[in-house]
Amino acid sequence: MKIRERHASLVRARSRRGSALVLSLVAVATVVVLAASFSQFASAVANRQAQAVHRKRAFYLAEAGLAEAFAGFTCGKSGNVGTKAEPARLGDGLFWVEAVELDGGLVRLDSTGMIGTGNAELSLVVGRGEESVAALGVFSNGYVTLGPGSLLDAYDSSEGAYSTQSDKSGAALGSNEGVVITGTLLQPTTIKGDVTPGVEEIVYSKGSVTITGSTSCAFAATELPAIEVPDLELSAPVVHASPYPLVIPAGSSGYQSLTVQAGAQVIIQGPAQVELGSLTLATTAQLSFDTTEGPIELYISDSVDLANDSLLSSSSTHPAEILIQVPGPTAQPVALRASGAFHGVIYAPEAPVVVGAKFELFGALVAHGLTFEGAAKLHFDKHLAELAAEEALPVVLSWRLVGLASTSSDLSADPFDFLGLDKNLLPDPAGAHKDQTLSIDYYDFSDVYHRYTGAESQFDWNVVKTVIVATRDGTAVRFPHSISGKAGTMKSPGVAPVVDGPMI
Amino acid sequence: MSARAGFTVVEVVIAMALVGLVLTKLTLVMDEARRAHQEESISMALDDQAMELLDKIAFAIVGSSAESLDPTPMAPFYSGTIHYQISLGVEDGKPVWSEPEVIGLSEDSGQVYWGQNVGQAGERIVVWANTVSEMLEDELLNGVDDNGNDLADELGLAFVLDEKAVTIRLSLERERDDGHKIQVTKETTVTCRN
Repeated sequence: MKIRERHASLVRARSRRGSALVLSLVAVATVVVLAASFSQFASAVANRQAQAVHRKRAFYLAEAGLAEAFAGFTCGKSGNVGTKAEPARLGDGLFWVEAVELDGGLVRLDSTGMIGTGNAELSLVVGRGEESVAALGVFSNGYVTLGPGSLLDAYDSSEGAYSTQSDKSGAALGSNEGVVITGTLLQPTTIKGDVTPGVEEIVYSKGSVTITGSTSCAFAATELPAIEVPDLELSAPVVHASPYPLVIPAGSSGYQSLTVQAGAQVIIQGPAQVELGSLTLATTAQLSFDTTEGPIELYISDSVDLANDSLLSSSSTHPAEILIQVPGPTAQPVALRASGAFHGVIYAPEAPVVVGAKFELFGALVAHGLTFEGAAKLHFDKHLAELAAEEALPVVLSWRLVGLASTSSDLSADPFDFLGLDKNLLPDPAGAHKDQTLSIDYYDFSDVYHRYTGAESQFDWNVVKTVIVATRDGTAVRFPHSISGKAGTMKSPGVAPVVDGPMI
Repeated sequence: MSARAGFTVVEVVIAMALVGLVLTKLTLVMDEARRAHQEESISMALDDQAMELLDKIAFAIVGSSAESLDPTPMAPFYSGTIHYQISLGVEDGKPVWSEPEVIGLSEDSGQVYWGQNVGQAGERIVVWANTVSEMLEDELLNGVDDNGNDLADELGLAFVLDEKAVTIRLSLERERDDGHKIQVTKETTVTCRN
């Protein structure tokens, strides 16, 4: 009996054996499945977020590419930085920028940045900066003669009125031919700055003449750029004789001619672009420029005759706000015989200009030829040179995000492997600019005159103190933030250059 | 011998009480773990969604011109909608702009949408997200800046302009099974490049 009971007990125990293990396995399997699903979910989220980070980093790399290309473009480089076959390396990523010439002198910079699985493409369209001749100061294509009692000095309109400034140095008088300056004991002539005659020309001074700056001749002839006249429809000629002022409102307008009779006044309100066939101011007639709301550009194509004792006035003392341009040659010289002080820039690259004895100019005057009927009073605004440097900078017209993507779902992807590149052999951004033929005349830090022609990659810019002239692939290099930083034309060194070979 | 094989009533009661206690505790722990798992999953998904949505909005606006932005609210004012135009390139020396685009929050549905030519011919509207909070996180409709971001009563999507920079604030929310709300808030500032 005892044996039978023990046997039955053993059979029951044997039937339950392993059930605890099965339950445990089920529990563990459940936990594993939950953990695996959560892990997979977390991994998928982390993967997506990592890809988003890679895309952002690629975006910033492409932006770095645009910045590098734009900075180079500003300094006169081509804008090409690296290529797909040899991109620039930056950190763990890479970029390359291709410059594409467009119509109208525009350039499109296409930048591609890659890092991890991220890939970004950006496009920037830039316009080249514009040459401004205002930095030339007072300049003539032909001979310049300054009579006794003339004063040519400079001030900075951004620092207040002329009368409040004590430093009047920095004037610039230049010519593509000779310069004749005379003075007497009673009427001495003073030029507080440089006088730069044309290439191999000299400054003829006679009597009591003081020139505080250099009188060395120019390194090269200065070309005066042509004027682009806006395409405006010209209305019938206007003769204004009424005692009430005639107001030319802001905006664009044009007249075949504008004649202001004695005692009458015409006011041009800015911002305005006004084109005139001819401009005539009779004695005591007045032409006023109101730049309270904006600048004024006045184009006069055929003739300018400001009679003795006519008045040319401006509401502002900032010369940059008024620009009078005479685009072509005129039958008679442009006559500036008006009285009083005029703040503005006058540019007549193909027309001779006659300046009356009572005309006082604050700003800049550039003409094909300059004749002064009496003592000249010209005050060059140095702020114009700063503005000219800004205008020379390229202008951004369009920025566009072309593409932003992940090249792979594999987070370990490497753009260097993807493109088959050895990252250790790639140049840094500064060294990835497309090499060009540089031709440069410069002064080193010992003021020795040098000349170099060859690949720019072989030239060491660290030896340059002042650039006289430079071209890349035959195109003049602009230095918006000029190494010389001086208004006027660049002067000839007067000695033979030291010819440099490759430096790097 | 057979009398010794059973348990006393007291032993059974104690054993059942102990088993009940363990089971109750186990249930509570399991429930808590399930909630934590759900909260973590939702939070992670919302975080992912918010980041993706914010990037989408930022990269849509980055190519626009600051002049094209409308409205132009500056703190403490904000807007739940922003109209803009992006640059498509240059033609004949002049920039070419896209059709007017808009990104906004539909207050009724809590949806963030992108639209082009809205209200005009060729209208296109795409819903980018539909889990946007009615108000930004920790903000109440009481005329006061509750969450200390210098904005009062801002919606779940808020744009603030500072010259060419647009600050985008976004709160997404979802409910757990038990009705508890989970919110995620993201913020970024993007500068218009044109």
